[in-house]
Amino acid sequence: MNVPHIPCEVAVINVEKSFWQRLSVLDWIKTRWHLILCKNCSEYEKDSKIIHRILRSMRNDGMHNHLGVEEIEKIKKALN
Amino acid sequence: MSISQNVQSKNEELVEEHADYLFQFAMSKIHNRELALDLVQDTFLVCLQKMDQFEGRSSLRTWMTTILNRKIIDHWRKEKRSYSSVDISENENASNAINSNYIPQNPHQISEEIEKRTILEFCLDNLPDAWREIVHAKYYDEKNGEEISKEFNVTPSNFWVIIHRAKAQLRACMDNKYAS
Repeated sequence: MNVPHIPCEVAVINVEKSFWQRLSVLDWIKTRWHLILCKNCSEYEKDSKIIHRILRSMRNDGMHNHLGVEEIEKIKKALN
Repeated sequence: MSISQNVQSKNEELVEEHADYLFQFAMSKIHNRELALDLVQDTFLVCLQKMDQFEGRSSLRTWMTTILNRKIIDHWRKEKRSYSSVDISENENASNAINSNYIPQNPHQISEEIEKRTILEFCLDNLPDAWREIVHAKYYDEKNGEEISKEFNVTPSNFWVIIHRAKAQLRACMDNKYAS
């Protein structure tokens, strides 16, 4: 199979895009092929995926972590 | 107003002012609402008992957060004993890392996760302002590329380049922090 080569700069941008959107089939194949051949980009993908997950989880925590009125009252009661 | 009513009112003010912040702090570390609430409640009890020991060298909130942090560490230590025989396979770690909803299940994972988060937060603060704001807009506000491009006056392709460069800098910063 003759897969067109893409440079590292394009591969890493495609990696970032792939966390948020579906790449076209051709872009996906070109990127995967690049990642098989390029250790640096493959390592970048692995680390970037971890950073992506932590950023997403930090965002999710921030949204749901506020105390409700009842919970605040529960703490107040416990102190009295 | 009687003395006891006055004390009660001051305690309630303290809760109103700091409870939500302390709760968010606890949740960022333990991901368990009920437990976080209990630890925050305990923290208030300890703070009120030890209020005369507060020397004012830091803010009251910082002092309270330190006490809460100790409570969280004590909790992990207790939990760690019961999890000491848990073995996590490489495969499980790998699949967890891909899942963005992954919540660590045992104290080893939790402390690793918190360390990563703490380092990442530090590294985020060290990004150039424009990059940090774009990362925030994408990850925290969940805006799409088009909205962010308009808001920050960058082209859509530049937006992805900035996300990549910010990630590359975060990665380098995290590597340095781990190395040190």
